[in-house]
Amino acid sequence: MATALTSRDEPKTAEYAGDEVSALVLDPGFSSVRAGFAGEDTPKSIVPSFYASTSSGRYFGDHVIDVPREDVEIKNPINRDGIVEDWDAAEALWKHSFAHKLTGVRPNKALTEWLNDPKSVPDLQKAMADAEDTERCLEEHPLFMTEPAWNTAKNREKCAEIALESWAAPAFYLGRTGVMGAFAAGRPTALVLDFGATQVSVTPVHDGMILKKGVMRSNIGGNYMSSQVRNLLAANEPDRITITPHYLVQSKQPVDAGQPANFVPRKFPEAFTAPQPSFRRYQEEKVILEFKETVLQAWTNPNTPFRGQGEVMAREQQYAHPFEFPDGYNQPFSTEGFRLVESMFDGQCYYPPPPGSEEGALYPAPEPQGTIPGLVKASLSQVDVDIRPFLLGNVVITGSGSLIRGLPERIQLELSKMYPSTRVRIQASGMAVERKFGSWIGGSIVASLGTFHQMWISKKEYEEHGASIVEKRCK
Amino acid sequence: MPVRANNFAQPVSGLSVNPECVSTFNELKLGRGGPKYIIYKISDDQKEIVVDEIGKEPDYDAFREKLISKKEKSGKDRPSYAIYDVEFELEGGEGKRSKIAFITYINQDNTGVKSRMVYASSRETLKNSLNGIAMNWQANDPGELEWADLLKEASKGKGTI
Ligand SMILES: Nc1ncnc2c1ncn2[C@@H]1O[C@H](COP(=O)(O)OP(=O)(O)OP(=O)(O)O)[C@@H](O)[C@H]1O
Ligand SMILES: [Mg+2]
Repeated sequence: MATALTSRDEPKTAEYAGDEVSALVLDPGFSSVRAGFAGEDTPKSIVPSFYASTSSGRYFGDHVIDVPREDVEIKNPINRDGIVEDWDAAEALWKHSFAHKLTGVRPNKALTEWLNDPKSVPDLQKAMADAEDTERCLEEHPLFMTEPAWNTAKNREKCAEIALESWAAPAFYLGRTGVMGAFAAGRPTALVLDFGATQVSVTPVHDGMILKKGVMRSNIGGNYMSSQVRNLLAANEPDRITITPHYLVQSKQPVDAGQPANFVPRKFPEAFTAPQPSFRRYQEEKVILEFKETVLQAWTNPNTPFRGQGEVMAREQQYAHPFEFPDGYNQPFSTEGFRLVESMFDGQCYYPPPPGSEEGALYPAPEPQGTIPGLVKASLSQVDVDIRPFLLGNVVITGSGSLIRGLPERIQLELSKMYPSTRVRIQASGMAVERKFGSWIGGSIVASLGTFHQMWISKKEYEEHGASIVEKRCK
Repeated sequence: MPVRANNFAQPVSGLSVNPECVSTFNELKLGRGGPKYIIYKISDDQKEIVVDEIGKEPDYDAFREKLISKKEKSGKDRPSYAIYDVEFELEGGEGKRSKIAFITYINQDNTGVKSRMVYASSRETLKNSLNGIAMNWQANDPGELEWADLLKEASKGKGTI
């Protein structure tokens, strides 16, 4: 595998067609932005899509956004539907994702020092201006970007505009995440189930083409699951469990399972204006991710459905996973982990929000057509009867949200039950990186092929034909 | 399936098809002493699709064995495209028929993601350049290359749910 060249030691060629120039691959999602050079195995730069916003500007990147600055707010340029809402912020965030680690920025010592230590305050205005001076930052790299199948024409053109005009990339291409997932699994025909943060989507791909009418999605993705975890913790008996994020914990003493936490809260100076609620929520979300990684498991007993008897069986010790919160409170979770996952299949397993909470409005119980079985059914009903067996024989599971113990088996059981006369086959890569970065990896491989140059939209073509060429070329 | 206007065409890799791929296929179509099957691969420089080997005997087991034992330099399984002339008897002694099958074999387990991606994204390029394919078969592990399944598909057409 070729190592990445920086913009400085890369050969200066006006041609982007050869193998010499590495294209940049950018896979922006709601939870993170994945960026790296084409031809590499995994993205070198992974940056949270959440950023910190204060009166002095925006700050990007893990650690940097974890610092509890005064009055700081945590935002995301992508909305809960998975669509970019704040283009200024998106452009700045995406640029950060590659300019920082990959193509290089002008080093800005003052800013770096300040980011690591908020007490050393430099001339911020000047420092920020220097940092922003990364215009035309892609002059030497064609850009391959991924997008969901439901991206609007306007948004696609906006991406082209940013790439080819603001960043001055010599060439551009947009690839659909669903197709990348199918191809990376070796399947020109597949039913792709993508478990993202904002949603779970079902994309039928036939002979390398998305069957648009069959694309279905529902907001039962990772964000929904986090909201369910919040509801579960709030309803805990005898006492509700409060998530105290790490930044609020000075020190803690070990306590027995189920006993109240014994910890010293972190003190902030009198005059300190606390971060805004979105900061705390983001920090809680990090704890919830750990909780999901530890506790979630899918019920895969073929003879006993979960709701009813299964729920009782699931209380057994063998299924228990202890989880410790940052303040030291800990308790084992067993049946809860199953029920949370089950709520993506069966709205009856939904954990209702506590009275007065907003979770219910943001993430209500899924309607039958918004559950995993409902999505698959709706999707297949929109495609030719003849190709349904081929789709069911090639169900590809991707997205970080799919990294739940037993989930592929659970989906296999469900679909086999729904379509008893058809052979259902599930493919979920055993390599976590392939499920986490499937779209990025797919883009990296195609964009690194010498022959891919025919596919690129060159800057010249874009200038001649305008933004509408995106819709024509990246169909 | 006809291409629907509102469907998305997808990123193909831009690979080209070596003319020999088509001429060998045309020989197979003519029958009589021509090849009974053709195995195609992607060239080492990853620029074009080329003929890997041809077989003159209509021996499915030997053909299948070849497909599943193709290796990359790395030792991992190598995917293939193939043409096989599936011959079968009609029920009730109504005579012989044959269907030219286009097979895509990409083992999901012992392959690298790169070869899966390149083979999957280049398939349409080859398929579209071969005129007269009667059936399309996608196999992602050796178990999906059973003769009985191909025969069923060839003789009865596609199943329904
Ligand atoms: N091991 C895990 N178990 C359960 N959920 C997980 C696990 N790891 C990550 N997640 C969840 O997966 C989601 C992120 O998935 P992914 O990275 O595929 O989304 P994305 O592409 O950023 O988002 P979107 O597709 O909505 O734009 C988050 O909600 C995260 O909490
Ligand atoms: Mg995603």
